[in-house]
Amino acid sequence: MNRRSFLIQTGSTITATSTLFSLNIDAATLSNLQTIQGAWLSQQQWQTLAVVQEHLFPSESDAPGAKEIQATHYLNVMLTHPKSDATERDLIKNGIVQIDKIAQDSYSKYFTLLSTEQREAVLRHLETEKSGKQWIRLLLEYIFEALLSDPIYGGNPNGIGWKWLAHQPGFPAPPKNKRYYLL
Amino acid sequence: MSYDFDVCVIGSGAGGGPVAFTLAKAGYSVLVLEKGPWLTEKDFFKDELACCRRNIYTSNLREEPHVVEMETDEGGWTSQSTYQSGWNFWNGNCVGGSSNFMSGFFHRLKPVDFKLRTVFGSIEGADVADWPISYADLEPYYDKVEREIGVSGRLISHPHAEPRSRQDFPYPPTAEHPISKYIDEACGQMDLHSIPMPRAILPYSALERQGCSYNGYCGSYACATGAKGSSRAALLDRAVATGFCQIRPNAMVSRIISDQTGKITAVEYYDKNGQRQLVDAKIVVIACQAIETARLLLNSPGPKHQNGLANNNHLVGKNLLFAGGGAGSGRLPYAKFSPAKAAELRQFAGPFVNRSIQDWYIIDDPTFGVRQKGGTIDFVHLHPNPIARATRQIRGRSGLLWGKPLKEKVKAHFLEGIYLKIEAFCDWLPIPDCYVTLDPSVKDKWGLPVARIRVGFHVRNLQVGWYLAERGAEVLKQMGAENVISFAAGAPPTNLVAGGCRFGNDPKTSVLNANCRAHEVENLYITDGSFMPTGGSVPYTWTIYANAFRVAENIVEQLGGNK
Repeated sequence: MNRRSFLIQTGSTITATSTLFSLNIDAATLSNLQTIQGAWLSQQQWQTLAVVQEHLFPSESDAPGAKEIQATHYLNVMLTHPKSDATERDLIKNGIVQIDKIAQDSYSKYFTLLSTEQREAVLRHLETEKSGKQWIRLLLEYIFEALLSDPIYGGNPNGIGWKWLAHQPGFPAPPKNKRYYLL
Repeated sequence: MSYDFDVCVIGSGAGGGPVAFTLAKAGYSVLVLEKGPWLTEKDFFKDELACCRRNIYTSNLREEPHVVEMETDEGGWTSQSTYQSGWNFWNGNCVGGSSNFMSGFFHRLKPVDFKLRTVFGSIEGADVADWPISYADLEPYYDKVEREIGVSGRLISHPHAEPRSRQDFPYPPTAEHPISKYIDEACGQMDLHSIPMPRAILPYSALERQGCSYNGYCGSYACATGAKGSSRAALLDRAVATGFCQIRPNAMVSRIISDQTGKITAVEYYDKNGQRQLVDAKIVVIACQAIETARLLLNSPGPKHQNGLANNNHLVGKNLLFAGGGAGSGRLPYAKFSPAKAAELRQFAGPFVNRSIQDWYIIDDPTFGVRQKGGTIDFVHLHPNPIARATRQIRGRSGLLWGKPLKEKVKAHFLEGIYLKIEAFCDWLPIPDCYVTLDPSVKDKWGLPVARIRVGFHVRNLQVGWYLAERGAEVLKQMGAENVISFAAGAPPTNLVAGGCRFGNDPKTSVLNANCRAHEVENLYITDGSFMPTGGSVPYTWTIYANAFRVAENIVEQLGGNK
């Protein structure tokens, strides 16, 4: 399947079956993923990643989830800035490949098309392997960074994560031109 | 004969600052060589990613690793590069060194710490030695640190209080969180002495520095106001202002060159552009923190120093010290207390806890054994770094937590109570299996052999650490804390390091003489924590500062007094 037909297919999936197999990605986010995210992952992989993040850190009516804290965008920033490390990009990518393989082997579907229970089963399966567990842990750590780091890094928009946890950030806050990877 | 400088100081932290300051004030020309960059208050922000998760203020472990040897369960030794393990033994590579990032919990040693062997006798498996100086010799310099660095506190009397020449601290205590009075209350009920902990932090503007902003992010962060008494803010800025002190940042000293007589003739370093440079001085002072100081000496053989500078007795790097001890924590759930008290406990943890107990500085408890050296228990806020706090919740009882259960746990952690931590400090006994050598194969980005650190520990560290941590935990319980845990571990705290070039009167058993001059090299002094034969049961910084002031006065004298 080429990239374009995949996008069309998943696009139609979103509109047609969103109540059954919710991708948890709204149109704006999807468009964001398609245009902004780096080419180090395919569009399909970006979507798998976003869905994994939302499963690990779901949105709630009274609490932000991966979507609200811009976890996918944050991860891309962290893995593509001037001092980022290609080996870590490979690590993330390999995990996504692994996730979709388990999903295909178990349910003959993409991870993004699985039910919440099936997604949980796939991730728990992945967790039984040492490298899989490390991968999930790494994603969770990046999620918490997106939740609680300074908004200059691309997560925690308007301090949404700090507000949720009544956390008072320190001062002086870092300005954008002093992001650690520019120093 | 002319020299580039009177004194060349290698390293700009708590060991180097007092020397540069004292010599420059006395009118001698001083060059400070610092491996890292020269950052100032305007460069420091409260950015958890920068300071603590990406460690941008310490050397890159890929380019500059250490190799650590740890004991295996079978009693053998296994080694790993810190680039692989991520275990960081760097503590702050910039002008001012790790003193930029300290919490500034300042305790003096006590008279007993200078003569542990005489007072308590030898300990099987350890090489405990008395110091060649006494507390009385160092006291004037502890006092000097209070005034020059700026130490805030409030004196109370307690059984293990050390004598002091001045009535009280020059600065009143920094602002305190309401939780401190509940520590006092619990200690009162337990007949313990809750000591207001002295801090190297200015409560208000003084010494041409601003006071504390109480924004809650202190330890591990560099201070953006100058209130924290780092070597840079408190000493080097003033040293430079005399016109006699020059600081060269981004200067990595690679080797110290000595001649046929054993005397140092030049210091070799690589500048920012990787160019090799030479500089000479009448006197060379090394203060790179214990591990790197030993490494530099070992990397500097000469005609009279085949095994490395000042190492003809193979003592350089030996008897490395960390800090023994334990830790613990408990949570005061808001729901458990009256609304008024809960509101107090909920207050922002910007103001400090500032409490210690030293009732067990000597343990005289028959259920524990013979009368022996104990230590200090500090009470501190849980470090506020929110990403670190949140990620600690990921580990569940069986496997990883994620989804709503993880979110619930994180929410409860942040919102339902205040945590109080204890940190217990006891002696890290000097033993034959804790030392620095050069790694035979791993090199840093300049091609220099890196330090290989064996981190064996004496079981006594653990026993005393457990004992103290349990005593601290009892106070937490008395306060009404829940989920109280306490523990000790054998792994070294990498931010509390000393020893490796112990001082003493006998050149056969020590590297330095009582004035911290190398027995074998007449123009070499070492002024970081390397000199300590035993470390005491408190963090080292105040003692390193005080001793460096003491040695600096000796150097002034050797050069002919004030100009």
